[in-house]
Amino acid sequence: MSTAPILEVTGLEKHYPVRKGILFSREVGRVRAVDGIDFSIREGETLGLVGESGCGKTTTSRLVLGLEAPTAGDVRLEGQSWQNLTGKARQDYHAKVQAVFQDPWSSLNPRMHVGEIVGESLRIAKWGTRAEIEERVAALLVEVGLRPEHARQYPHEFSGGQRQRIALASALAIGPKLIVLDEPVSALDVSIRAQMMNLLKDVQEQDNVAYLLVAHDLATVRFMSNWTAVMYLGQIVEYAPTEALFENVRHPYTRALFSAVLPDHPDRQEEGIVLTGEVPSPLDPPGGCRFHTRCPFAMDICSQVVPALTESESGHLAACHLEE
Amino acid sequence: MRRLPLASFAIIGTMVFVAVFAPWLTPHSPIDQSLPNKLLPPFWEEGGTTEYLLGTDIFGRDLLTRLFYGARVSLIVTALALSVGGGVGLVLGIVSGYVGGKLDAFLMRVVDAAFAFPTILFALLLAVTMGQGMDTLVIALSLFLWAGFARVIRGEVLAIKQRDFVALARVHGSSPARIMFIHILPNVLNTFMVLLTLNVGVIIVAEASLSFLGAGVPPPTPSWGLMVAEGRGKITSAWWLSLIPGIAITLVVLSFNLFGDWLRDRLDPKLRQL
Amino acid sequence: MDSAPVLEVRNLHTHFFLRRGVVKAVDGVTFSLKRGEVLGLVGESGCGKSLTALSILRLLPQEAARTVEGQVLLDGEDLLAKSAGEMREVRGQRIAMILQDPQTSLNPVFSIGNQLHEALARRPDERGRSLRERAVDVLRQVRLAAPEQRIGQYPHELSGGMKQRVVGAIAISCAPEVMIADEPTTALDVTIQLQYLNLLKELQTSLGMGILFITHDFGVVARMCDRVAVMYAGRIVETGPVREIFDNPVHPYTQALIASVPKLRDTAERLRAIEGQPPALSDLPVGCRFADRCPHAEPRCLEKYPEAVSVGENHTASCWLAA
Ligand SMILES: Nc1ncnc2c1ncn2[C@@H]1O[C@H](COP(=O)(O)OP(=O)(O)OP(=O)(O)O)[C@@H](O)[C@H]1O
Ligand SMILES: Nc1ncnc2c1ncn2[C@@H]1O[C@H](COP(=O)(O)OP(=O)(O)OP(=O)(O)O)[C@@H](O)[C@H]1O
Ligand code: SF4
Ligand code: SF4
Ligand SMILES: [Mg+2]
Ligand SMILES: [Mg+2]
Repeated sequence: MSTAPILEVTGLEKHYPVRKGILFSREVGRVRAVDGIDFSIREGETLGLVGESGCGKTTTSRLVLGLEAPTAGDVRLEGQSWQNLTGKARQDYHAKVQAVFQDPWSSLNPRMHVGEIVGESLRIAKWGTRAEIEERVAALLVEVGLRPEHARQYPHEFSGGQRQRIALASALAIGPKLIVLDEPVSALDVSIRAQMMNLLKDVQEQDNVAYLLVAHDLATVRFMSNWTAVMYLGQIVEYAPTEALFENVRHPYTRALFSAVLPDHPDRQEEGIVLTGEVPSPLDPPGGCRFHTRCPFAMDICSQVVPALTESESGHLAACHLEE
Repeated sequence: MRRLPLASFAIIGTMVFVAVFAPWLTPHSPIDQSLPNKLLPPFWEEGGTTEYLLGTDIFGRDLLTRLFYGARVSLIVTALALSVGGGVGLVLGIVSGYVGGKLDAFLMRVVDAAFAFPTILFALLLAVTMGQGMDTLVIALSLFLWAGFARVIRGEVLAIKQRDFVALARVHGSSPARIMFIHILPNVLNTFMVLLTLNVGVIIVAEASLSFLGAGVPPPTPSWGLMVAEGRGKITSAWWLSLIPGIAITLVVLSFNLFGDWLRDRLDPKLRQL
Repeated sequence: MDSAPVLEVRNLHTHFFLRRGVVKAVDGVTFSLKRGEVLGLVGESGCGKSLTALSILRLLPQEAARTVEGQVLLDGEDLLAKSAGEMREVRGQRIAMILQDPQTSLNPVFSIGNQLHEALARRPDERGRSLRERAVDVLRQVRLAAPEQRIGQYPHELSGGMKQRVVGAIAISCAPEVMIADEPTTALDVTIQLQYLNLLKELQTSLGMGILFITHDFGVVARMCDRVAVMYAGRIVETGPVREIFDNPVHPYTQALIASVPKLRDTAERLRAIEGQPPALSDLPVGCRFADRCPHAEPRCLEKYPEAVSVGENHTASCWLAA
């Protein structure tokens, strides 16, 4: 494992304006989907991004992919920011970061056959002759556990798990440095999930590709990632090497997430922190520590002062006044 | 699932067949006059002959022959108007839906304006300024058609744009043009096909109406609408002159509509609200 | 718990009759649910869990689907023999259902209060309170904050978790004997899911309902259920008390399912996955349906379907290894 990060994200923000009125719409507020986050991923490593629905995980991954422009902050891939790239350079950037999304039914073009889908990025990059591309597609299909003959079939002929494999093959085609995985197994059946997770690990080992893994399931993150970042309402509240985090949870929200994980055996019921109340709206996030409306340990200072990410041992960061 | 409408299929097939093979199917000319044989009734009426199966018009021209050649005119006009109007609508619909923003807002206002436009009046105006003719007719009909296509296709594109494969195409580095024409276009073709068939009837009726009003194909070229118009003065004495082409129009339009409905259900039940 | 079963399903067969063949989505399902018990029905997607629930309530999706054989006994009365009118009574008052998607379970054009009134009006109140008071009451029972205000709101004004509570409120408003919950938390967030499960458990104990809990998540099973029925390709392959199923699974499919779930507490290098796919329900094998994915398959597995045999107290499995 080398030390230079492949991906560096600094001060990343994405705000969506909310408009009201039908005829004369005016901005009435901003959804702070992502509100100032920093993280980095090194070659061949996986960063798991966990958090509740709406905390900004998908927005973060879309920003990394260059599908949306950030409101502020920077995404750098091998030191290069995609925002000021054009033409060929931009295409080279795109060749370095690929993606697999959650919904296997919407991520494959129903009008293209599998061979076309998997070879698409190669054709765009004019990677080789037709025959060379076909050969590479066949090899990719084998790598993800499908058969070369599948190239001639259409997506509707495949199950959800197989479709996710096709999506992975298509992401791997151009030889990216980083693959953004947005909930790659959530839509799959339990028995198929394990297959896909094993496959993702095998592929990472073989191709030395880095993953940004978005998930809401802590067990998935533990299995897959070297680093874990916990998001709450657009911000990272805890960030640590996965083992350190799972051994010693520092932030109350992360503890609540752990308590919410359902037991893997009926005798292992843990009554940890059961959160009450709903997730506040990112349209008008609470001041101070954003978690203070639901935090069982909230103190006076929490609603007034924003806690900074502070490091304890070995790069384990947490943003909580209790930890200062 | 609806059954294949065989009768419609047969009628459409017959129309295409007679239109293509008209010169070989009848010994008569659709244009040359033969005054001694004028106003002969169909063969089953008293005074009719089997030489002129459906009778003759005031110039002694065989009605059946003119019907065959009229089918030709209708099909050519329909094909041209659909490819021009439908094609423009398809492209603008895709671009408007995919690019979105100001361009979309602008194009959709133009579409609204096109719907508010009095097509028949405009066609009459064109006929006066440009002169009567098939090109005038095709232009008028295309102007009438494109907006409907553009609106429906745009709606479809808005939904397709949200699907993950479009985002992934961008991740793969596809240009907007490639996304629109390699990724999105094939996904709206079903809708496009259905729109095409459903509009054939509309065009045949529009062509007939315009010809009837004198803004269509100029005489003596036979067109079904023109034939109805020419016969209307003699509706009491020689009913076949306008009634038979009128029946032909009705049957063909009905057939195309039934066929379009069937195609729509068959390709995608979701399109039922079209 | 050894009380009499409140709901008994015997040899239930529900098939789809399609032009391309017969899809045997539910093909001989037998289980029983005791009063005050939570029975988990687990299995992978498409194995027929939802269809079993719909067959019990006689709410099959379309003309093509028919229950062709079997009995559904509610307190000993066969629901399949009831008239449509009698069935409506059963559905409103004795069996309630909660579906996966709160989005589609609530009517977007009626207020929360209206939808609750509808359900409450069917059951006269002993103490003669107004519908509104009773609606506020049930909303309080499902721990919805500020129920007096919520009553006038519309579904789109509530979050997913709140909507699911309202669905739950409608379900318990008639104090049913049996509740069927079809993956009620799949659409919810982890922290909200835990709140909701705790709530269901509480309601279940206080109302003494039997719950048939359909899920594919063994975590939910571990948290909620007293007993588990594991379903595979249209049949129940193993039933037993929840601890038995976790500690001592007998059927190879159950074993594989449990092993394939990543555990929060350990760092495995690889997960044990079940390779292959379940058989097509339109073309089921004569023998064991798990045979082509089973690591222990023997020749006899292919020849004859293994009947359920007892493998412990209240624990049965359909596998030749156990026979
Ligand atoms: N295009 C948009 N316009 C306005 N608001 C948006 C847009 N996209 C996302 N949001 C808002 O931003 C917030 C973060 O959304 P995001 O999809 O990133 O969440 P997430 O963490 O991926 O959630 P989930 O687990 O449900 O996928 C949400 O409150 C969402 O409503
Ligand atoms: N309308 C239909 N026509 C034909 N087959 C159907 C239809 N609806 C369901 N099926 C079949 O019935 C089987 C059982 O479906 P069911 O919805 O009960 O599965 P399930 O176990 O609830 O799955 P999930 O976990 O995905 O909800 C499926 O395999 C499906 O193929
Ligand atoms: S800063 Fe305060 S409110 Fe925020 S997590 Fe820490 S203790 Fe809770
Ligand atoms: S019956 Fe045979 S094939 Fe079926 S689960 Fe048991 S051992 Fe496996
Ligand atoms: Mg998301
Ligand atoms: Mg289901």
